[in-house]
Amino acid sequence: MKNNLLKYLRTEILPTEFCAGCGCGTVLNIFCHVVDEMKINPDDIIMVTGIGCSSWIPSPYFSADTLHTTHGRAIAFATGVKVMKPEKHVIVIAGDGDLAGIGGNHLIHAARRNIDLTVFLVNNYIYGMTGGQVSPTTPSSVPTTTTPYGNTESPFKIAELVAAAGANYAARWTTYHIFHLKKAMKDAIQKKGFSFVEICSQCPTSYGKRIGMREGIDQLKDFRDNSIDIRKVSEYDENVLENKFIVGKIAERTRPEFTESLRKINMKFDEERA
Amino acid sequence: MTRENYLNKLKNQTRFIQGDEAAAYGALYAGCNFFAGYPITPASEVAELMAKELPKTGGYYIQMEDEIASMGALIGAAWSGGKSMTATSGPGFSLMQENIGYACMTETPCVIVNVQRSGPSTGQATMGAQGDMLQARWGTHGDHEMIALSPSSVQESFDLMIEAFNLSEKFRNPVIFLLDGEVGHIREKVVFPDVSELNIYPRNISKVKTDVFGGARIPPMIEFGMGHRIHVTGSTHKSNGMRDVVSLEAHDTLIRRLNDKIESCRNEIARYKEHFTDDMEYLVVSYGASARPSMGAVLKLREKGFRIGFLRLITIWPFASTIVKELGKKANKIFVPEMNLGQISREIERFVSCDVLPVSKIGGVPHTINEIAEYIEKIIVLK
Amino acid sequence: MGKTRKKIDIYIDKELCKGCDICIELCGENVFMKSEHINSRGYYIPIPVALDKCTGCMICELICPELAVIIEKSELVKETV
Repeated sequence: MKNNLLKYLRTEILPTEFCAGCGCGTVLNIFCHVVDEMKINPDDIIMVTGIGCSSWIPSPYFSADTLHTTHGRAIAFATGVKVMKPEKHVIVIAGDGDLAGIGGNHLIHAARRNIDLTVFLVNNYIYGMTGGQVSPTTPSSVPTTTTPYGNTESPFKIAELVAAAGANYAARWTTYHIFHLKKAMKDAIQKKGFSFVEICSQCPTSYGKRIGMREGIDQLKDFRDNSIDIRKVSEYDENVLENKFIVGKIAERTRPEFTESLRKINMKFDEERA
Repeated sequence: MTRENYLNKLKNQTRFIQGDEAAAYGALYAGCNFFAGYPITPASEVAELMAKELPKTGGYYIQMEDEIASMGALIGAAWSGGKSMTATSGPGFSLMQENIGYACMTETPCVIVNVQRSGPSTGQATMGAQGDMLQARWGTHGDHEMIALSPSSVQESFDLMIEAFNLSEKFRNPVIFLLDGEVGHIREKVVFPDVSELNIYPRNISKVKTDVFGGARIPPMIEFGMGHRIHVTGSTHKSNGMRDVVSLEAHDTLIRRLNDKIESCRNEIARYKEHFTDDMEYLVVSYGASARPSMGAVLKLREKGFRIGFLRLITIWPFASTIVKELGKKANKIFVPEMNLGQISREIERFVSCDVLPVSKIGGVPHTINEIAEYIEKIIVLK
Repeated sequence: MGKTRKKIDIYIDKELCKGCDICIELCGENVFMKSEHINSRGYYIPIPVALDKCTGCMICELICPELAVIIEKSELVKETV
């Protein structure tokens, strides 16, 4: 018996090239469930991705129009797509190195612009594809291949950053919180304006082993045991929160959407002419 | 119908405008409906005019956070049915290079205006130059072909921009529009044509699912949202767009075709104007702003009795090698006035056996007629 | 008296599975066990060994990184005690 959801995938290239136990596959799985449950026709989806393991979630696996861009620039490319195709779901899936590192500027400006993109940032805390170099979300003091004596920097709280930049929707969940994550992904797709879900994900190959969690399941258990609902953070001391996964909805608002505002200008000229 | 209404109003009008503005109007005539850019001297006027006029024609202007993003948005828009364009100068052009390579690799039509200023780095921001001639050719990494055009007057900036879009659509390649600060900022007369009399090359869009990255030297395009679930990637890919990054054959087939589609049409794309080459003993080759005093110098020297011809390059890349080779056989010496330290003169050397002498001037002020004429005369007489 | 519940079947796509054991570890009812079966790419795949304990919570299906677990809930059956 075959999984009914395989109809959403380019099955000729399965199984995926993800390592065993990688969270990217879980995100792909949940995304397929989301598309199926929301009854979205994949022909109405345009996937835009960058460079890195999590950019491979939609490209090549998810069968929709796919624009696999240069490193960090997925949101910039997606901006051009959305302006020309406002009726389509333009969805970006990429990683922490791509969206928060090299592409960080595009991320905050798209949030400020509040363009109707849905962005799923799969945060595995590391540059996985290149072999485990420190990323902008790697926690302090963690040893990586380029911080062999421990990370001397502090990580971004990326979902909070996007919320502060003005996104209409921002949330954080993990690959352990599959039902919440599925709901958040649906909300993000439905929400008009810039919608963002940070998905904390396991990378057993390049990150887990650095923190003593050799298998994917080890990090999933870490997500399970060390997550705190954002509505309860006030009950905790700040230094306790530092090493926790704070999950939940971080922002939801209804600022005007960018492409609609652009179109209003054009409509004004149409009316004047009529 | 908003674009037609708008262009009908412009029809037969005469305006006194800058080369930057003429380029923008040319883009509107060519059907440009998407502009993404970032402010930079001396190219901001292109963006400002597009911001004001594009919405009137049903198009969209976005100011992006940087030139990298601008170039990305251009490509996204192009695959979504847009005819897209940006305008920048040296520093921004440098930032765009990675995504220009992506446009070459994914065969994405788009037009990049580079109003050149003195570099490297910030250089002389307000002073024109022609220092990016080779960057336009080789700015992005890897083997690739490039189309680059360089107008010498404001009217030509308008006319050539329509050609830039047509070439970009026909060859599915980015086209670099090499203005220089002088032609970009000079004000001259432009007469707007009747759009219905222009040849606008329509994008070759396949209605049925087909290979858009192979199967023909220039395959048709597909637009996102047509249900074909096309896969577009800057990685080496097969003719159906799917990644194949390990096979020698896949890379060889793709890159040779991408080069061949331009190279095989070199003579068709490479436009130039010849003057007084029938009786010439010496030749001047120039382009852009420096072609103007060059022409003046040629006229002056001919008045003095020197048999000197002039070749003005309009297309810079692919290089007009056929005509240069031919004229190179007739010329004793070739003089190349340009506002750099000899970028195009080096390219000419590849195709001729006579002496090629750069007549370089840098610092942001164009050559005068006398500077060029005196230099050439001195060398010819001293011979 | 009888208890009404859905009939649940669990399928594992043996060729998609990479033997990461996430389904085995996260199942609250210990439905799965690692089997002796090795698929064509060398992974030991899990098998459901306690199907009767499955509550149909869907965690294994939704979290499987390879879309290799399929939970099928079919017609209602009446169990007689």
